[in-house]
Amino acid sequence: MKSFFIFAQLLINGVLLGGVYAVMASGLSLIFGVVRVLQISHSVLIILGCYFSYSVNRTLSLDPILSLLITMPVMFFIGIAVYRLVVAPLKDAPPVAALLAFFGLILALENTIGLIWTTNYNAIHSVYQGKSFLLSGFVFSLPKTIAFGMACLVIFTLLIFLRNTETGRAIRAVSQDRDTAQILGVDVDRIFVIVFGISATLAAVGGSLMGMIYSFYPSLHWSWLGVVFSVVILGGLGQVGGAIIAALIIGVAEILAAYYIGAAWGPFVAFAILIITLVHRPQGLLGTKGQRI
Amino acid sequence: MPISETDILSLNDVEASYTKGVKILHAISLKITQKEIACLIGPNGAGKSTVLKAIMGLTNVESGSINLNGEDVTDMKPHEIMHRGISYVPQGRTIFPEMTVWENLRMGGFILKDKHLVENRIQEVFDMFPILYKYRNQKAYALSGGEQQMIEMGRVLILDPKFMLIDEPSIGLAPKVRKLVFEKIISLNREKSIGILMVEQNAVQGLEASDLGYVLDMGRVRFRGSGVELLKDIRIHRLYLGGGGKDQPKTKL
Repeated sequence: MKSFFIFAQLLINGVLLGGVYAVMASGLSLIFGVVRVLQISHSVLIILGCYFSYSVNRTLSLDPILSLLITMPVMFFIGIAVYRLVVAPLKDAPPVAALLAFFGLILALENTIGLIWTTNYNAIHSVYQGKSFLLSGFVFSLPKTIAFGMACLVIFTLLIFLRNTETGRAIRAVSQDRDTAQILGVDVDRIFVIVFGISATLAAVGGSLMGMIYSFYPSLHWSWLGVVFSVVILGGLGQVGGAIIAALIIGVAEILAAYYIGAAWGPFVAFAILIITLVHRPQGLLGTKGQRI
Repeated sequence: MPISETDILSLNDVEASYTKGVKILHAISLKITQKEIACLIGPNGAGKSTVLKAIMGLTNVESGSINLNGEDVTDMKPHEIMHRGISYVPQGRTIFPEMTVWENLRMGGFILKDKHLVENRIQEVFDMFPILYKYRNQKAYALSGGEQQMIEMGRVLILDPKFMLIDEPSIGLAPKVRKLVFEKIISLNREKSIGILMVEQNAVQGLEASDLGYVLDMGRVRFRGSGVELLKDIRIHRLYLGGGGKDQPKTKL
């Protein structure tokens, strides 16, 4: 009975973490689904968003969730800058050129972050830090629960936006058949700009929520890179819906591994899932239709 | 109705290429009105689809001109040409598979600011193709080939075009469905006064449905005439429709 109770508690913790992973990975999935480039510098944008929220949190002593109101629009424009300065100029170059450029961006941004904020451990402070509440016998960490709630809200807004707005439909149309969308009068370049903006905004939310839960330092994004890639591959490249389910699975798997095998084994599990997926189900969880939003 | 109220689309000695200098079309001239259905036939590589793409501004027109009612529309961008009343249904399935039928139709009106008008036009499309209304909330990939072709035709109708360019409307369809698609094309022309210019591999059925026929070969118009005339023409039978035609001596040209 006790062991079952512990298992259920671990599931709760895993799902709470998975919700945040979903926000972190959905932006990467969105870009691949629409623009068809592998934005490997996505995780450095996540940590950049985290540091922006940290600064807003420190200088204005704002609640981390409220500081997102400043971080999100700033990161939206940074996403647009990434598209305009890195992706658009390499539009006709071989795909490896974009990968190298993204890699350069990772190094440049990581070191810039180190220069501005130092490479020490930091944390985003909140009044509910370290607090928790009990619900039917289970412990809910307050920062994790609030982060999960915010993650759900953001994902829900993203899905509604993609389903029910003119721009959202145009984004999906470009993802499913770029040439036809263009013939119907969709300005594909404008859609790419919007998608990069949204993706960086999602990265900012994901990073800020992680910063609320865990302490962080500039090169931490490398381990997040592993997580977001595992999520996106398991969910099926370019499938936002699949990424959400995959994020929950990987969140739960990490927490279970950390408890039952050992704390250091959490990240290993994400990579193990990545490799198993690539070998046995490269199209991702949701089947072969793939690469469409 | 006086002639001036019928719009005219014409190509005058159009030479077109995809890569500068490599001409696919050589001095193509043709003309259709809003009241007509014209069919382009000819062997593979004759340049049939390129004619439609040239009109839509998807090729380089190296010389000659394309006119809509006297206005020169050569070298305009696809959406500018669409705004002037020419719609294009490309070859192969170009529906958005993961979007519903309604969403597909809605995308057809993307460039229209007045979304109320778009909804009214979608209703008109549903009246014309009741099957699409039935499946309006289904994902498009779940529909049959013929129904998907109807989505494509319906999607361009949202802009209320004067002319519709259709590339291979019957490709990949069962004979029965093919017949239905041609019937819809005829009723679009007769009831909505949409001039149709279509490319058809299935030459006999295409010509039967058409008022005008053009036989293309090597980027040139080799024969032109009414659909019926071309169907009777022994030379066309021998060269392009396969076989020598019924009870006709096989003579050299």
